Amino acid sequence: MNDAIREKLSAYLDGALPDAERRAVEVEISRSEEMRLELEALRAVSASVKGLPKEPLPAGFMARLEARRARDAKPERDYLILPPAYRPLAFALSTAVVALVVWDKTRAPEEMIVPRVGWDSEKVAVKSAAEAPPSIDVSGQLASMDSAESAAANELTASNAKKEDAGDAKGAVSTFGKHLSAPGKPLEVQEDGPSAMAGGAGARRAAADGPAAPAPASAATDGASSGYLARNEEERSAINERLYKGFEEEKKRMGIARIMEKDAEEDRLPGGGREFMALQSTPEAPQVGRARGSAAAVRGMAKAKGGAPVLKALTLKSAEALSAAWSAAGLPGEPPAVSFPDQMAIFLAGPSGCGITDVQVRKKFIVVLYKDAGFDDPSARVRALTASPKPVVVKPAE
Amino acid sequence: MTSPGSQQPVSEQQFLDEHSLLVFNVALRLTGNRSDAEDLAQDALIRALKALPKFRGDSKLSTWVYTITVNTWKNRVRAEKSRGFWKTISFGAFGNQDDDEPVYEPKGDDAPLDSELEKEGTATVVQKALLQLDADDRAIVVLREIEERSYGEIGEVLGLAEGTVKSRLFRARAKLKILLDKVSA
Repeated sequence: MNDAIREKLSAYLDGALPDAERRAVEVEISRSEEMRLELEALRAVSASVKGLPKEPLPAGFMARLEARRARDAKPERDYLILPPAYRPLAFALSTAVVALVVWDKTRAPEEMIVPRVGWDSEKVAVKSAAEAPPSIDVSGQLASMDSAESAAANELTASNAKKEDAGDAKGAVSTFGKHLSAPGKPLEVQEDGPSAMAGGAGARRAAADGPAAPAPASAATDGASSGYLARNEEERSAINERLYKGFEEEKKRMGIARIMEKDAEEDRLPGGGREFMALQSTPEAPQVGRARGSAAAVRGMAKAKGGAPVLKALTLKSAEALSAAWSAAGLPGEPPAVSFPDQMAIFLAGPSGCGITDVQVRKKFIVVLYKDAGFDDPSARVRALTASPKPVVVKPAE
Repeated sequence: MTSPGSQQPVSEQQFLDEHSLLVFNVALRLTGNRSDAEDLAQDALIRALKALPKFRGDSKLSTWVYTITVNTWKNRVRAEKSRGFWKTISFGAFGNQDDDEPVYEPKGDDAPLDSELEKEGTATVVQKALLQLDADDRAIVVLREIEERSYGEIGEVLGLAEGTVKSRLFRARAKLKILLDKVSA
């Protein structure tokens, strides 16, 4: 029996055949036992399926249906996370974050050599490295100045003097001058090496003899070249911690009561740095700072050989200080006359041949333009100005 | 919304009263377990209620409801198949030897019908054998044998020609017969 005939049997079972076909099938069935058996088998299968019981609705079916309808009736979001209106904003924000991260990872580390300016003014002003001319390296100068400051402090406190004489140079050498910047800013710092320490000790001894005493020839010659730059965050952090400790000690010794940010918005430093003012609490402190700052710095400059020129403009407010700076720099003759105290002297400390090309008195600070060579007359190092507490910034002349 | 022929409007409640049981029982035989059947029936009824205002009475309302139920079920089967939930099952004696079509495995938490209500072995075997048929064949058998729909109506529900329905119904019956014979032996 082929499938076509069996298919007709299936349809016959359902009463789905046209009359003629139905009669033909009935004839076949009556003649063929096989077809009859096949029909019975199909009928049994059909009956077994029909015998599957009908079931009532499960209890609570309608209630659950209603609840589901209510749930489905809530407006569906056609977005997954963000409404379409917020997508440009999200894209912009994520792009900005990525750009920030890329920029942070790829930018060159900042050079943070911090100049100290107006150190011996009555109001000590300090600004960030952004203002410092890139050609100026003040580390050697600072090393010698710091050493000299310690020595001067020894004059005031006998116990400190003893300690330093015993060779405890490292603890006594101040690091204040190398980290003057906006507090909390990461710093690149040059540290004193052993030779600078030795030079510092010599400078201290010289300073102890008097502010105007010339320094020994070997003093403070290698301060600039023996330093190193902090290269990673950990190292930088350790140095910062040490420097801030020195900063506090120095503040105490200088008689600085507090350091405050100058409030003038319109007179921000050109490089974007902030300007700070140190308010002193004792009248002696500025004198100490002025005298030894001048002499020690000049000694440092005079002895610097082989390295890059190291320049600093000192603000001097007495004839003694000017003479001391002049002689400490090893300059011949006498310094030019300045009408102290109505005037003050700007003295350029640096290698021989250096000189001031121009002095610009601006609203909040004084800019000293210099050249580090080409001046035969040493009086080019000195400019007399109306006395002013403004901080001094040195810049190479164009 | 109207019922065919009479063109009388049918309220949602009336619709549910008349068709919920029908839809649930079709779903029960298509899925093989109550929890899946309830889920499928509710899904189909909600779809039907949403579409009810657009029902134009071109066919019998019951045919329309069967169509929605079977299509909803076939969509689910297709989705589950695409998610990899399908797998060939073997019911021991009911090996799926002569059909490469994937078969539906009951996935509801409750036990299959056979373990609770259908103590008779025949009902168990028949339900399991039904689950071994492919989707269209199973739908044809359910609509013909259980719902007693005509070939024309089944063709309308499944979108098949009457001749196709006739031949596929014969094929499904033959397959069921083989499965049942194996159990009897």
